[in-house]
Amino acid sequence: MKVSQKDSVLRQAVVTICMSLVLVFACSNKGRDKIQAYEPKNIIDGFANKVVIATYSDLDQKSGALLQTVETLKINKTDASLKQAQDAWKAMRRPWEQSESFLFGPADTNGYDPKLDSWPVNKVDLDAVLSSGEKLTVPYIETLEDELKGFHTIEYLLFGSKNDQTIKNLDVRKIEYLLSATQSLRKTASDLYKSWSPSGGNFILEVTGAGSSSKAYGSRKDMLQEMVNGMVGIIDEVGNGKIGDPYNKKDPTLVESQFSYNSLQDFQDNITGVKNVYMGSYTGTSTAGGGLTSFVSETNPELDNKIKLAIDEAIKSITSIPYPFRDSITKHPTQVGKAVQTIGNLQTILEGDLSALISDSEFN
Amino acid sequence: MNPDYNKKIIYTSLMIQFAFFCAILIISCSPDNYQKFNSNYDEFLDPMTGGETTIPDATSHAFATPAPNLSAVNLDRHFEGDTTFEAAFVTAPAQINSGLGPIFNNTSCVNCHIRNGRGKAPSNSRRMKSMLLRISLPKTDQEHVSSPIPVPGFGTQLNDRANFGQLAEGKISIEYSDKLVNYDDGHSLKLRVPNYKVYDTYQPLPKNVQISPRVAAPVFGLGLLEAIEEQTILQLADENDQNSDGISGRPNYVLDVQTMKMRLGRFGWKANEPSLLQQVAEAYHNDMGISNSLFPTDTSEGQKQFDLLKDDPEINDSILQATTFYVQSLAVPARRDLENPEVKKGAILFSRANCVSCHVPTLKTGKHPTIPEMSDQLIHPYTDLLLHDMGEDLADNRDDFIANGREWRTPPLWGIGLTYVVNGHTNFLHDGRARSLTEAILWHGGEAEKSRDFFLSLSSKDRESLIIFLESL
Repeated sequence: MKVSQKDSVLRQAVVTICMSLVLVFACSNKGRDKIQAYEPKNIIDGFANKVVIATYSDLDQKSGALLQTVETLKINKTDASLKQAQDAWKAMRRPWEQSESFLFGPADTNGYDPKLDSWPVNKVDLDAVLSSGEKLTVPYIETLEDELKGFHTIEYLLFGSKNDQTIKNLDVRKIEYLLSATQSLRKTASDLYKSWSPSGGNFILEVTGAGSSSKAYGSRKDMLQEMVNGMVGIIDEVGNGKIGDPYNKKDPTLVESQFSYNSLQDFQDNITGVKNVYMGSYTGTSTAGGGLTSFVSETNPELDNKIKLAIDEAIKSITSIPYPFRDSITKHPTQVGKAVQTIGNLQTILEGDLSALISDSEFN
Repeated sequence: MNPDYNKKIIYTSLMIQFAFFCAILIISCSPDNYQKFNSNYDEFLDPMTGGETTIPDATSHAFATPAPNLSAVNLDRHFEGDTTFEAAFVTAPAQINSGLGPIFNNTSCVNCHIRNGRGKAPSNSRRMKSMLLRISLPKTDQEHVSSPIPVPGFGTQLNDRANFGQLAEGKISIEYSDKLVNYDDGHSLKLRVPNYKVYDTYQPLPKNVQISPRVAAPVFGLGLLEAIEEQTILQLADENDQNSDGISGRPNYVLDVQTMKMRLGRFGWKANEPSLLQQVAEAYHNDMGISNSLFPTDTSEGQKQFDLLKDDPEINDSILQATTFYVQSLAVPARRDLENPEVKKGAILFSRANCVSCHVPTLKTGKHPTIPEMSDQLIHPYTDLLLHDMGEDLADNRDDFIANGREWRTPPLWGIGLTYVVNGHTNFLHDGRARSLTEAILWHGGEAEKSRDFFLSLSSKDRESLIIFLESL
């Protein structure tokens, strides 16, 4: 073989090696190990059906239960009836707070979230409406601003301004308002459930069709990222907003669900909602093939354990805050500060490690 | 020649080639490469739409994420603004968020700018939720460049909601009718033509009132637009169409209420706001009835709804600054689907249709006066921030400072392909009449007529490519 031929072969070999090296570098994504392709359909389908639909279905049912107790309260004006309605309000609050880990889609774009959960209550206008001669029908309540209906207006009527409501204080007008506002709440909760349901607005198809028929999500990776963003969003809100804001400013007027003193349960349920999304079921336990945990545990078991531990720690840190939260922001700053820190830790793991893992995946 | 020497030369040459190849690859893959674009269409394929403020997010959070390059201090400021942007106001006196109304269009920023995105026009006869009507009286010649003339008893915006016991200024309904547009290939499409009716006004509206409907616009990327040097915008203007391309583009000059001097307008559907601080302050004032240091009394002053409470300003400057900072410091979502050949084909068509004359793909920001993270960024907003005559069909026939009734500011197109995932609809243009990007293109007239005609002349496959390009923005 002539030298020039040898060189030519050598040259080709070197070029091939170089190109291969470049390709390897280019594909290795900042030196991380290449992630094995993983079928995410189970995770997404499970999230849509076993978490979202299951949560909204429960919300719908609990809204019906609340309405029943308020109807009873109207007929049977006793402290026991009031207590039942209060308990039913708290029970409905739980699926709602858990649903805040996936506040995208119709909850926002159809305005159900502000209609259900606007805060603060417009007390000046509420008093004015109650003192007026307006007929307090459901259609009338529907015309009012969101700060005059929904969970917190009903909470204010059921619990009073400091969890001190009595049946004596609930006059006919207040009960009429309460009933119509609860009927309106019930309708909104049902509308929200229907908006996802296949027999209604069928938004579930936008989610389960990610990467194929979905107009909203061009890839399954985008959908998984939506799930992570939803979790991070509520964790951020609980840690920095719902707990952090009143804690940093030492201001109990900034506390969520302050009339019922239900704040700590709200916060706990928010993180439980995160757990539901991660584990792939409304009851927070993993089902076969579902949940982000099924992907993470296979790809990075260490991270999976870290996330599960951080979720449990976050919930524990909230349950460690003495009741009621509005007093603890000044009386028990150590526990409250610890909760902010622990929830912040969970946020860092999800928006950092988990988000990166999804981003580096080859889901499409 | 010594073969070893020869090999050495070849090796050296190859290593140089390899190093060069790697360097090119690294440079082209690096998000830090904003320097220049190698071919004519590379600027249409740069994923980093907002320079260093870009985030790769194609979810419903795409418009609601802080710019990734914010300093820790500025990130904290951003989160403060996030809270104030979401704060719902209530009737005074209240312990928190006091001062709503007495007349208003909505109770919080986020209720119109849902997920920081685009408002939606209501369907026939439904109540407006994320849009409003600006109103004013016709100008006389002497008042050629002054502010819009308020309608006595109404001001410059129709407040269709009110605190309990107060009268809203009026109600608004929209009825749509169809208009058929034919493509050159024989296909056709129905557009919907809105017809606005103001009724149940608390007192009669003058017959010569001018009405301009406007949906809430997305609020991300605005800090970057604020950082574009005035000279950069003015260089794009061609008021007398000296290059004879049928496209003029002229700046609006509007009142800066802090200096009481006229200044280049760059925000809003008519470029009728000079700064984000003023835009935000005016939104608090006009949209929610919240007085502040820039607009120190309620909009209802002089009207029977005025509340006489001595509570002005109803928000302090820290709230005003926080909300302003929030809209200044949001990230811009990155481009998507750049590997799809249809995107490049669509970009070529977008350019050939001369859409780029107004929807300018690439601009460079100068020094932002207060936020260094927004400075010196190469960005792809697809706007020139100038006014253009958009033809009779889109005209609102209402003057807004220099802008006449046929002129609109070129709206940025960045992030437009994410409208559906963020807001659950694809309604576009100033009044949301277009139900798709295609309809939005077909509404273009005036200076954009030739571009629209180019689109009408395309085959359905080419039209689709152009839309795929827009959806990748």
